[in-house]
Amino acid sequence: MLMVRDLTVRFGSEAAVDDVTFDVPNGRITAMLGPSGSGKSTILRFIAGLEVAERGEVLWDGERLTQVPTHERNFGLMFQDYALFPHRTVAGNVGFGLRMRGDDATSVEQRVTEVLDWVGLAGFEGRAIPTLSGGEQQRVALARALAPAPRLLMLDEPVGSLDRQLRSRLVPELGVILRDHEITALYVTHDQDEAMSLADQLIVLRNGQIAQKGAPGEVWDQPADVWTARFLGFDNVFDSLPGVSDTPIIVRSDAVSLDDGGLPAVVIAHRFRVSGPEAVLRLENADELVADLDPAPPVGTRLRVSIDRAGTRTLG
Amino acid sequence: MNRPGLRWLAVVPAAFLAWFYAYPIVRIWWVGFVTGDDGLLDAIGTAGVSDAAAFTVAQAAASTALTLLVGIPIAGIFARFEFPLKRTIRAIITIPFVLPTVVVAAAFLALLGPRGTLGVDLEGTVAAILVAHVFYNVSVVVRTVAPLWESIDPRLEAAAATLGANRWRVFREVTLPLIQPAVAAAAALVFLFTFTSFGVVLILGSLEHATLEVAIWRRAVGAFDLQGAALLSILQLIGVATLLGLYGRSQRNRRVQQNLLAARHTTRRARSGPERIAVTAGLTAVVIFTLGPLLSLAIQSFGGLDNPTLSYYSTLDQRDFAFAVPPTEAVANSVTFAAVAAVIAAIVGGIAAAVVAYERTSFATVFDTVLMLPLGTSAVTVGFGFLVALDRPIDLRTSFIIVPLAHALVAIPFVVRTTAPVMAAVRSRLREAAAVLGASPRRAFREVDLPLISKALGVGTSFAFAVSLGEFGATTFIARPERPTLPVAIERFLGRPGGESFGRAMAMSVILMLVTAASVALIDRHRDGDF
Repeated sequence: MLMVRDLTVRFGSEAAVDDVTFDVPNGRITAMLGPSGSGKSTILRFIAGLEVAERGEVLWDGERLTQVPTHERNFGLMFQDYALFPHRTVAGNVGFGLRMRGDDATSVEQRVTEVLDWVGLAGFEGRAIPTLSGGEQQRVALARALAPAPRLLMLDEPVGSLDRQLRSRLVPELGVILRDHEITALYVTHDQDEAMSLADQLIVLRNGQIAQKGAPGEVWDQPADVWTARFLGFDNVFDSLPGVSDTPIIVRSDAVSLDDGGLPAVVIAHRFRVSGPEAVLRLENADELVADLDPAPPVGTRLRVSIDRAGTRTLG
Repeated sequence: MNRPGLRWLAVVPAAFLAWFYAYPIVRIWWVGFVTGDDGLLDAIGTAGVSDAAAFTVAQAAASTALTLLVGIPIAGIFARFEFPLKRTIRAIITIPFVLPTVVVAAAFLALLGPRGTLGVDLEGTVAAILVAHVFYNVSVVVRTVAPLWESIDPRLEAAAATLGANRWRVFREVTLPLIQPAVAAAAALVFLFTFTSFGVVLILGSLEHATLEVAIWRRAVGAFDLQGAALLSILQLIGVATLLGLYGRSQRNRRVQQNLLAARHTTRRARSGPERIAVTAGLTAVVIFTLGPLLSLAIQSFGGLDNPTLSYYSTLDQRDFAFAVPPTEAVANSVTFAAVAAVIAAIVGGIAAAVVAYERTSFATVFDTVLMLPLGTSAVTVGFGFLVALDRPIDLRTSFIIVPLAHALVAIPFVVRTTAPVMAAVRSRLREAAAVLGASPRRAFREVDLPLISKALGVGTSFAFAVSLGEFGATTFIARPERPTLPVAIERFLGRPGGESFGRAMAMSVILMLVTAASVALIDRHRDGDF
């Protein structure tokens, strides 16, 4: 099991990572989720030994690795931009780590074939890197990181540079590969859907600090605070809502209904979802509230709404 | 990445430059200002120094203007249109730039000289010099301007057109301002090249048309007036330094902030009739202009079309009364010198490039600038400096090595320029990837950096070889009479009367052209690799 303890990394006077502690359990996928600049990549680079920390330790099964050079850690890292060697073929890239640990040519060849098969690139051994599409390069990078069977595989936004359609196809595939081979993975992303669908354990990062840890279901059911709830993609997250709650609260859009005795609001836009139309309302205090109103009143309509307590969740 | 010990390696190139560049220049200043009997003004006043300076600037300005006039439309055709044989035509118009100056001069004599194919004798006229300069430099304009032009969004031009601008207005008000940085850079380079032009002016010009370079040579070698030559050299150095300074400034604020596009989105086939005619006519003209002189050179080397003969080639191994060695020996000398010069340039330049690329400090920036100095210094000054300076501490002037040393000095900037960017561009990401996969730093360097760098170093070394083959300005000062290079031999033969000498000069020029072409082709093959 990987353990990171009290990690602080500074760039200049700014703390990119601020006192972070977490574990990555064996054979599971841990997703680290946070917006860009939240310190995710820095943590990965520290674990890989590519970044020097001001304070903190990285341990594997209790053994301190902080001083061990990168190439002796046996951790795999898949870079966001893949960092494939342009002067080597697909096989030359995938077999690189195997050669580094001294495997003989035959077993390198076998393993390369095997791993390329896992990622769906059987027969690509002789191809030159520049001739590959973005998706193919992504798979080669994954295969290269997987080939030496690292005890921990870190993936830094592994589908971040691909278009949305390709991403939505590759992410589940990636999950299947990681689970089939019971790989201990630390998966970094800024995309909550990706993290939610892949992870056994979720770590939400904000400004270099851990905002929340837990199983995806737990985090989804009970976001730690307003920021986390909004970052996870909830609408209608309020620090307080006059007449409803003095504390942070999430309101489901179907909990809003027209009520002449309710809060005054004006319709400012319509949104269309698979579940039906939604109206975006502006309340008197300038907060925006998304409501399932079918049919949605025309933009500019002044109305009053009330909120069903059963459709709300208080935070914190 | 930190490589302790790299900085002290800078000693090697620094010592090389100090001995073979800085020291000779100091000696030139010494000769010019300290040792002479005449007063400074007397020396400058004699034999038309101001005439030489004025002619140098005037012909450079005229050459630059003409080259831009020819080059910009061609650059536009390359930037905006797809046409068959694009790669081939691009290669063809680049030929002159890689040719040795004496070959270019010989080719224009073959075309426009007293025995020329065209039957008009322009030898000794300014027109001949200007045409040869345009021939030489068109590719500089095309290669500098076309890439920027290509990456400019054609919709900007379309937008101007929808706002009522005709084609000329579109060019003047939209395209030209956007490509202006590249045009300025190209103009500065062409001006610099023609300002320091030596071989072309020496061979095609006449006694009254001397650039500073030619004047230095005539003073030093013809009249043995070392002080006069030194003063002219100093004038030349100051001129070049000023030009380089201006060029550097123009480069700093080079690009207008704009969205640059990949070329494949901006080029298209010519559509309308007039467009097709213009593209075809422009390309045909430039191809004829490029190949015409070279073709005449080849024809003249076989004695012309009327009574072709192989005798100019078959007699190349024979010594004649006025020339110390048979021309074939000059070929062997040139190839040997070039090989030695390329090795020296690869070693010194390779080390220098490593310092520049890996030491990302202000020291490296300054060092980088210093390394480029020999490129801006005229070849004649380099040769003259070797001549006056390298008698001490060791007298190298009679040694075999002096010619390769001068050639290496001129070629080192090429090696640094081709190698350092590749070294710096081997992304640290790739080294990190190797480390994560279990490669130690040493192993990562061997497995990742080295294969990528060696390709670039190969290109730089081939460049150095080609530069050495064609080098004329410095060589003419320092080559021993019994060990002439091919360019020196060609110039001697061209300078002698008689059809026999002329024919043999033509034959030697063809050989030099082919050897150069072969080494350049080698560069291109290296380059086509995928990095």
